[in-house]
Amino acid sequence: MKRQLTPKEKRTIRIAAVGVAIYLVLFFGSSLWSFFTDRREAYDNLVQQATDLRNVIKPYEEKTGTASNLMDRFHMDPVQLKRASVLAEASAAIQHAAAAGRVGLGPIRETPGRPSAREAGSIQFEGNGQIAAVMGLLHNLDHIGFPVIIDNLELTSNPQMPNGMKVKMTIVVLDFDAWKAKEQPHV
Amino acid sequence: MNSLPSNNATGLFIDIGQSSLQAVFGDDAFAFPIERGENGRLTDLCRERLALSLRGFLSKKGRATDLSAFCAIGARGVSMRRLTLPASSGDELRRVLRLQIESEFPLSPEELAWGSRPVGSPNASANGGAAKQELLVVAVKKEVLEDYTSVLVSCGVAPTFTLAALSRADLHPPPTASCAVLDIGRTHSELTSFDHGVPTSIRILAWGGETITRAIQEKLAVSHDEAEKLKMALDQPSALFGPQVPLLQSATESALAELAEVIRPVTLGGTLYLTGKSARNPRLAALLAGVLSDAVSCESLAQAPGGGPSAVIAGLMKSTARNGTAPPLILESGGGQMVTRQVRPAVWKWAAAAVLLALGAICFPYAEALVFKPFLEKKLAALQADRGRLTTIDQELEFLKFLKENQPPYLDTIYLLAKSAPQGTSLESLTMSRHPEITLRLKMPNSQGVTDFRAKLIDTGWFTNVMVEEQAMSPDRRMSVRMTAELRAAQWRKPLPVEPPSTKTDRQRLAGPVPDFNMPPPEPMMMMPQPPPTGVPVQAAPAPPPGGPDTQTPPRVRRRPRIQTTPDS
Repeated sequence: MKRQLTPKEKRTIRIAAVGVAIYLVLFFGSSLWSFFTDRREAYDNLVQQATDLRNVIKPYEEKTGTASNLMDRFHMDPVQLKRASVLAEASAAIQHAAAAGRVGLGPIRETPGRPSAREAGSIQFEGNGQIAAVMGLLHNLDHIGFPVIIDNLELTSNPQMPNGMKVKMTIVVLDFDAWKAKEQPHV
Repeated sequence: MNSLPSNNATGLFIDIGQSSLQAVFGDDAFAFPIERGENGRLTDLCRERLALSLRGFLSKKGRATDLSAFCAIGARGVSMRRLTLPASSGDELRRVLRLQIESEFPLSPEELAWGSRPVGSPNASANGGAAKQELLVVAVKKEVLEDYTSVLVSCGVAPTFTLAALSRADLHPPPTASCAVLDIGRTHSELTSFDHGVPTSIRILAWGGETITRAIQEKLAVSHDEAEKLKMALDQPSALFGPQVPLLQSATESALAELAEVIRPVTLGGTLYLTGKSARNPRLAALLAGVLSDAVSCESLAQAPGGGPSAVIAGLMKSTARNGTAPPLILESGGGQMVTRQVRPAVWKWAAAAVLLALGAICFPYAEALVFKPFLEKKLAALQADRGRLTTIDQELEFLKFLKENQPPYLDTIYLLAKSAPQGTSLESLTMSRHPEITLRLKMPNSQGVTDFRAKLIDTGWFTNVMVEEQAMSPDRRMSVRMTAELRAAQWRKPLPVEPPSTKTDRQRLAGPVPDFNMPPPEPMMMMPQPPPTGVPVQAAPAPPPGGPDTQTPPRVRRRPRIQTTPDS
């Protein structure tokens, strides 16, 4: 049967407990304190790193929005472009756009681009068609999904076609890899 | 006469009277004269001396701390009522009692210390309603008890208070009939009336043993001390036959007459019991009965001979020995247990909450570091891994900006040329490049048209260095013109006016479907003319008259200008 503790025994136990607590605090308190302090310092460093990173990333919210808008406008994602095939694919897209816009195709010549000008190549395009069709083609070249710039444009009247005109363009296809190389010059 | 019980109870018992304090602890007794101020409370000096003396008394017994004491206080400042309440128990009873006290007593319950005990058993209401219970309620100003408590606590004593009159009644339970008990003190007496054994009222009378002493002093013309000795001698049975007995009896009767003027025999019931040291006079009861015209029978309740405990302490001993713990009516602040139960845990709870909050405030930064560090590390590692994407975003953005900024505004330029061209103008060729140089070959009706065209081009704000490199009359009497111009830099160009969409959209549809793109190109105002079927150029504008073709205003044509091309161009 359990015996109830007398007040004196309870008092003794209380004093012993306080003594043990003081002993623990004296002998292990400092090491425990340093353990927690080290953890806290490490955590503070991490928080500082996170803050710095946030400051770095913050301007990119706006940049990402701008880039996204431009990608929507040009219907392309530059990362997806492959240098080896971009010229061929762009040429095919231009011809497809011309055919879809009822622009008659003339001679087409492709020449390799100048690396210094960050070009994948250039295309000399000749065609003829109604004025509206030619204008439509000029407009649609922005949206064919490839980075093309009309370097030179020559429009002449076409006596063979009523309300028609001939068009001669030099189209430059840009090379996205050249931008990568620029950003990483030591790679 | 009844006899007092023997002092076989243990613990500390204290009788706090009007002019003295008597304490009994075991076999030892302690007495201390009390000095009170005009308000009836202990003076500061008295409080200090009392604490010092009591501490010394208790230390002799080897128990100076953690001692509980039963204390009986006098009737000064005490209110006693019998209240009838709906029969209930526990907290409900205490709550109802508190409300009743609030309405019955002149002070609020917060200012009072009170106690209660039931009188009889609950009775059913006469009309069949809820049962009623009668309670005896004794209340006193809290400050009175606080005075005593502060002194006793400073001596390491935890006091429990009750009313001295009730302790006396515990010692000598009154008969069931109505009666009264007169406790004769030194300067004051307490008169308690009982009805069927239950106290009904309690009064303090400014009459005591000192009054008898003064009467003897006056009657026998002796000093106060001698009068006191003579009065004490009256307590001895041998003094009944002394030579001064008639004078002493006369003096006592005159003192009792003063008492009889104060009390009304009607309120005393059948019997008046006398207690106190002065009641040791064996003839006092008979004399008082005589003074009261034998309307009430008087009887002395004997005390222990010599320096035994007072009737109050004896009553306390008896009641605590009977109950085992405490007297039946305890005076406590706020009525006792209910308040104690509510307040004490709340204090501990708040204290514990405060300690926990303090600990939490101290430990929170460290706990935060321990808990959130792994998550933060993981998140930071993921962000660092994604940091490479920032370079890609930069590259993409720069590439796309380059693409956008290097798109020459061919369509806008063509639109402005068409808008600036006068009627009758036909375009033979147009050459543009990324470099801001434009070369035009046109045919115009006259030289004024050339001038107007150049002026309009400059006015658009898009062109500069507009040069007419060659202007000559062609065989068909029209002006053949070769012009060059330069496009201004983008930031210097005027914005193009926004025009509402025209019905020409239908004509664009005729030009063929645009598979993927919805935006219609701006239609140039200059139109390539249809070739004449006969090979002869069709002139939309009339030929200028031979006299002055350049100055003549061309005919107004409501449709847009059409550029006529010739086969030889």
